[in-house]
Formats: sequence, C-alpha cells, structure tokens
Amino acid sequence: MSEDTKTKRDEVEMMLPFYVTGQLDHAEANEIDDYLKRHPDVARQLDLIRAERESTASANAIYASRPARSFGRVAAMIGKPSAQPARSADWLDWIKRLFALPSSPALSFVGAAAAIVILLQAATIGTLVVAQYSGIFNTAGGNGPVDGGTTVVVRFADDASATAIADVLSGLGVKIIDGPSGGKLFTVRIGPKNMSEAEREQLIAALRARRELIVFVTPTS
Amino acid sequence: MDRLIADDQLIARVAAADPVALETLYMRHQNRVFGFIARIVRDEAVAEELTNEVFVDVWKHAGGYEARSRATTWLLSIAHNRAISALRKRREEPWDDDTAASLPDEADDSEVALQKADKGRLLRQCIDALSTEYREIVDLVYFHELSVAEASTVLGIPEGTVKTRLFNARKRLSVLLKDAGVDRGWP
Repeated sequence: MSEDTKTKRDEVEMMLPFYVTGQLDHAEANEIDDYLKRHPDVARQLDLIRAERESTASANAIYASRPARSFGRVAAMIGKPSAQPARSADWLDWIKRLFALPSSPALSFVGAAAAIVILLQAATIGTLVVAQYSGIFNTAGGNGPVDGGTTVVVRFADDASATAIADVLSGLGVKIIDGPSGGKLFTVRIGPKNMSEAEREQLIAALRARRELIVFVTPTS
Repeated sequence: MDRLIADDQLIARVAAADPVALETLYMRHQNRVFGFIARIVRDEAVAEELTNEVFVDVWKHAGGYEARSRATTWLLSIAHNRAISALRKRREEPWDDDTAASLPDEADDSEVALQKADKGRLLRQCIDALSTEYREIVDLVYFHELSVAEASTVLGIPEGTVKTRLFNARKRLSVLLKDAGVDRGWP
C-alpha cells in the first residue's frame, strides 16, 4: 500500500462512524460509498461500528428511564417561581416529543398531524390521541407518562411507521411509558414489577426478534 | 402553545428573562443533559446538581446564544464544561489534553468478569472502561449523534482532533476487547 493509499484509508476509517450515524453531507457520504465498494475489507468495519453504536446506546439507556426531575431547584437558583405547567400540557408535550423524530418520515408525518389537532382542539387532544393509540400508550387517564413495573429501553428503526410499532407493541401487550430521550430512546413497560424472569426474557426476545422495527432493546435493570 | 415552540425561540425568550421558556427547555432536555454529565462524572448526585447548573448557565447566558449551532449542541457544550470543571476540582489537578490523554482507562480488575459476559455486554463494558475523554467522544458521536463540527463545538477542539480522538478511542476498544479474549480483527 502506498503512503497516499494508506492516508486515504485512514481518512475514510475516521469518517466511518459519522457515515453510519448519517452525519455526513451528501458528497461526503457518496465518496465513502464509492470507497467502500472498491475496498470490501474496509466495508467490513461497518458491522463493528454498528455494534459499537448499539452498545453505546445501551450504556446510555439507563438514564433514559429516569423519572423527570423537578424544575423547582433551578427555579430557586435563578430566583423565579416554577410556572408549574398543567399536567395536561406535560402530557401534550410528551405526545409531541414521541412523534418528533426528525429522521423518521412516517412518524414525523403523524407528529405534524398531531400538532395540527393540538392547535385546533387542545382541550380534547388527550382523548383523540389516546383513542387512536390506546394500545401502545400508558397514559393513566391522560395525566402524563407513568413509570413503574418492569421496563426496557428501546430504539425504533428510523423508517418504522407508527402503525407498525403500535401493532407490534399492542400485540405483545406492552406500552410506551416515556420518551423519546437523548438518542431517540423510549421506555417501554413490559409487565408488572414482579413478573417472572422467564416471562421477562420471553418478551425481550420477542421485541428483539422484530429487528426491522426495533433497532435494539435493553433492560433498565 | 409553548410546547410547539422551537428551541431557538425558547432560548430567545429565556434571554428576555422568561422563566416559563427556561422550564420548557429544562423539561425537554434535562434527560439528555443529565445522562451526558452522569457518564462523565460517574456520580448521579453530582450530575443532578451540574444539570441544574447548566440550566442556570442557560438563564444567564441565553443572550449570547447565536443559533449558529443547534440548541442541543450548545447545551451539551455547557454541560461538557461543567462536567470537566467538576472533574478538575475532584482531581485537584490541572486539566488539559495532555493530562486527559495520560489518564488510565477505568477498566480496573474487571477483565475476568468481562470474559464471562456475552459479546454485546462485553463491548458495552469496554466502552464504559474507556478513559473519560474517549468515552465522551464515543457518547457524543454514537449516542447523541453529533457531526464532526458539532462535536468540535461541544468539546472545544479542532475538527481534525475529533476524528483522531474517536479513531483512537475505537482502537483502544479493540485492545480492551482483545485483553478480554475477543479479537475483532481491527485495526
């Protein structure tokens, strides 16, 4: 390998993580595409990088299932009272965040639709959205996400549709209780706190089996 | 309708001393900021306090936000500075790139345990065992999905250093995995 070739290979290898996460512009991504077609040995690194990415998300997932902290301490530090927004507003934000996945065209479409309904009928949005997606949300009567029970953290595929996700989750009898948090993770309640280990493993395996929709699943404890 | 306002607009309102806008930003981003800091300082109580301080910084300095980068990048940049400053105080030693690079990995004596774990869990444990600066760049790129330029902004280092730091972190991962009995054939 000439020095020039080695330098080019190093440059490409350094950009591969950004290629995998979709953070390159069109021209850069095309350049990497061309290089990988000509160098299958380098292309094999993509699987390593995807595994690194999944394990990194898993290592961070523990924080995605934490209950939201109160703003009270910050309010005291800046010398202003907390506005204490209505719980229904919290819930609306949560629904909106749920569908605010920029890299997911299908979910973004649903998000836009939900936003329009929020604008037009803010008072009844809870009822409308819950009616549409009651199979996958645990809304506790529309008062916001509820934690508790046995939970896992999942990340849905960027191109997964809301309908497909709803079908899978409702089919397994599990519900989203929070998300998305950093890294587009959602917390999913899969059963009561005292569910058996075998049942827990079975449900996790069933979620993992739907790799076309669910990129990864990791227990929260 | 505050919930439909973009982060940039919220920051503009924070700059005008609107505490409701700050609270909305806090509810939106607290998990990301807390998780990012907790991974650096490895102490959840400290991370909790630093997260609050990040949003106090946002309150104080929102007027200086120029929207050249995403709001998330700006928040993570503040969080990085807060976390590194806390580490400095904890170690009571100056912090610079040379110092950071010389810190040992945090693998301690877990290698025997690592060998018993499955491959995915092993990789996760090796990521957790990286030094702070390597773990941070891995988190920023793989979990927070920042571009080279955004990671450069958050860490305050040149873009070329972002690339080489991540490259070296990945090579270090291979070494840790090899020590634990897994040769992944790279580099």
